[in-house]
Amino acid sequence: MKMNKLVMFLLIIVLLLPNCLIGVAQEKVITFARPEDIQFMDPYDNINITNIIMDYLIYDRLVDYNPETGVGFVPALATEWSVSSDGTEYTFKLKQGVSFHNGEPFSAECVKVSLERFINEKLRRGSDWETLKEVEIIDDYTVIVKFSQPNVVCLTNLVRTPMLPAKAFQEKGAALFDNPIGTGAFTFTEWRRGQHIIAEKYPDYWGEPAYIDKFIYLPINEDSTRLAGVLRGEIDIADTMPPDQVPAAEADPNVEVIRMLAWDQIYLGLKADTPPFTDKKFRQAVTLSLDRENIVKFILKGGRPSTGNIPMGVFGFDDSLAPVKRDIEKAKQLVEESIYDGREIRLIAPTGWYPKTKDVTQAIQAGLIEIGVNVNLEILDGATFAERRGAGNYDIYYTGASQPGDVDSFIWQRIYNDAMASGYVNNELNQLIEDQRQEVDSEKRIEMLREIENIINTEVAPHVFVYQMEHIYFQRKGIEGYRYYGNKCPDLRYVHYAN
Amino acid sequence: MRRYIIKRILLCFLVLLGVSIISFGILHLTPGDPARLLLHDGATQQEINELRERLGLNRPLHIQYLIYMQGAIKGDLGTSLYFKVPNLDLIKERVPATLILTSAAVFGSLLFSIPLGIIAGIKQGSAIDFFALFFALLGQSMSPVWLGVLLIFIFSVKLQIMPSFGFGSIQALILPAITLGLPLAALITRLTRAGTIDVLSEDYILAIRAKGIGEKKVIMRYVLKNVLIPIITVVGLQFAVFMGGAVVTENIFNWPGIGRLAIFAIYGRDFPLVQAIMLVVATFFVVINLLVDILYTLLDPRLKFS
Repeated sequence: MKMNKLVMFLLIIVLLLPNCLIGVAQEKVITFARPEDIQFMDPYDNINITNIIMDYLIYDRLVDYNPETGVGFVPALATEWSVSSDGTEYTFKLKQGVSFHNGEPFSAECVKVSLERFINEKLRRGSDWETLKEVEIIDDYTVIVKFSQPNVVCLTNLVRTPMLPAKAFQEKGAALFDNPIGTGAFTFTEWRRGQHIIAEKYPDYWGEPAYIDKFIYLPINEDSTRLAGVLRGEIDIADTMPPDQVPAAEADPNVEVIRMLAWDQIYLGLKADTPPFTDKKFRQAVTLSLDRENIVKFILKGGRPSTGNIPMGVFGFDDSLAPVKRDIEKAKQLVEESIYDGREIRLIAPTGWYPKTKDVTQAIQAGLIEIGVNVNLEILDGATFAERRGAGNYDIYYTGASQPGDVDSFIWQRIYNDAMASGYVNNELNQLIEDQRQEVDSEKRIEMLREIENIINTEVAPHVFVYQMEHIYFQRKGIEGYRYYGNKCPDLRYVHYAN
Repeated sequence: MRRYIIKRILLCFLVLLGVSIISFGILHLTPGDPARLLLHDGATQQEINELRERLGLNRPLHIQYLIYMQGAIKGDLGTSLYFKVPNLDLIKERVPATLILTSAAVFGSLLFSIPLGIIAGIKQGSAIDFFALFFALLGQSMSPVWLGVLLIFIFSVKLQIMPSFGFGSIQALILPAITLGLPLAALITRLTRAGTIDVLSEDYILAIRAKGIGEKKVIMRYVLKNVLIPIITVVGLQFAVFMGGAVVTENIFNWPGIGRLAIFAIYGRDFPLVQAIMLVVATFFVVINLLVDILYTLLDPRLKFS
């Protein structure tokens, strides 16, 4: 009997011991959730925020955003760089002794093979690199990136362009991305579509090692599910949360709510070639009818009223500008003086793209009605909205624009090239947009960008900026290391629990 | 029976053909350009046109349809515009999750509702009958959106005894299965109760009882068999509907099923993926319908194949 009890006791110890040891050497895991899943793993051929977030973990870039300030660039795989006086050539010195996860060494050849994909292939990020001419290898650790004309956004674009292993890519082509290989702090482990993406710490990382062993990304579309997950502790960071979930998160002592200004802005696009929008007085009335302050204060409970097309935090931002103040009486007078004949104005907006679209657009509609404009608000599904906007089938459209830290892509695509068919033509504006793309002197370029902003604000065309968005996320108390740069693509290499 | 099955299989193909034509037509009539959605927001019309050309979206509609069906006949359901992988692979990834959730919801509903309905039918006017009626009303009135969020709030957030999302464990299955299955359970309870009352009032039941056959046997052998016939129809159809994707439930609980994939594909105008999903779902429908009809005739010998 005594022997049986002893055997039983030893058996229990043997069964429990591994669990005790596991408790001592527990894996450090961070679980992060946001709405979208990865599209596919090629970092050059998608425009998906989730991809960019995972790319930060698995790959490195030549330069990164300054993690302290969020503006400006710091060396990463490039140790230093210089720009030619005419802005057409960028010379990079590369870090030595860096290897990819498969052991392949990083060198100039990798930069050439990576960037010249934009020349050799039709890729969705190709429009950022349309003036790229070639990448010249000087030696194993020096390259010159050459453009056909001055390029002022090369570094901005490089922050979003991971470096690929040249040999592996040349051997496998696009099949390489079934199992992505980078130089990053994490290695790609697993992607189960619709379920999770897992990356694990790379022990031989050349830079500052990650604090955690495993990073798990969960694509969870439903806001309330992400909220429940972070309240329950199943999720460590619930990203891209809407403002109306904030009170529930704030009520939980174990959860922190972080609100930061994004570089995204919401604006109204006007059909500038169609009456009454051809009349500047009517356009001025539209901007004066907007209650930007109260939209931000009461509907969104966060964000910032816009002052122009350059958001706060982005190169060229002018902090001396103030938002246009609502003036109903002046707006009414302008409507009466304008060519507006009382016809129905179609205001279209997409559902599900931006927070509180219905509430904000209803407030905008109410303001326009108050000044005597007959407005029909149509909230459409995203695809229908995009089609009507692209075809110019609107009078006013409501939408947002994200920035990569420089407004060049916005003004080039949406004003100069008039991607939204507004019909707005301003030769002075277009010339300025062309010129700023090639101005290598930062101070002069800032002047040009501000002049562009001034014209847009004065002419009230083709856009009227409403508010600058917030980025809200909830995290379990004690988490540190979430690096945010305004483009809503956080750098999560160094997230961890402080204790 | 063999002739009947062959005839039904041939009809299945006709149904699938009809579904493919209708879904293709509706999809292409709906506003929304997939090329525009796949590119960045500031893409020029030239970029959009080039992508449309590369994806074959500029071809005449009937050519696009014929190319698609040519592949479908050989088992190739095309490639997703968004994910750039074969649609069949995407669907195969999702089917197990949908099957697990659907099976749990349906069988859970049956296990709960049939006994409840029978007991309520036998003991009319009792407390259990009142509970069954109340349950039936509540279950059919509750929106799955509200129910799902409520269950998460109570059991995951407040009581912390259930996960709020996930896939791969029995625990993670419970709340979504309840959310999906509750309206069905409510319906089955009502049908079973009504069916039991009807059958018990029949003369042959009186005769069977007069013969001295025990109540348990009366219920199990005579009442249950007759009550099951309409229930099988309802359950079969509902199983097929669930297999088409329990969109709301899958979305709330982040369940990686066909429903979520379908909604994503529709919003993104991923035409080939939507087509593929509709074909697969229609196939589930016709096959399950056929199985239900066969089961029907096995349960009721009075019914003949015709």
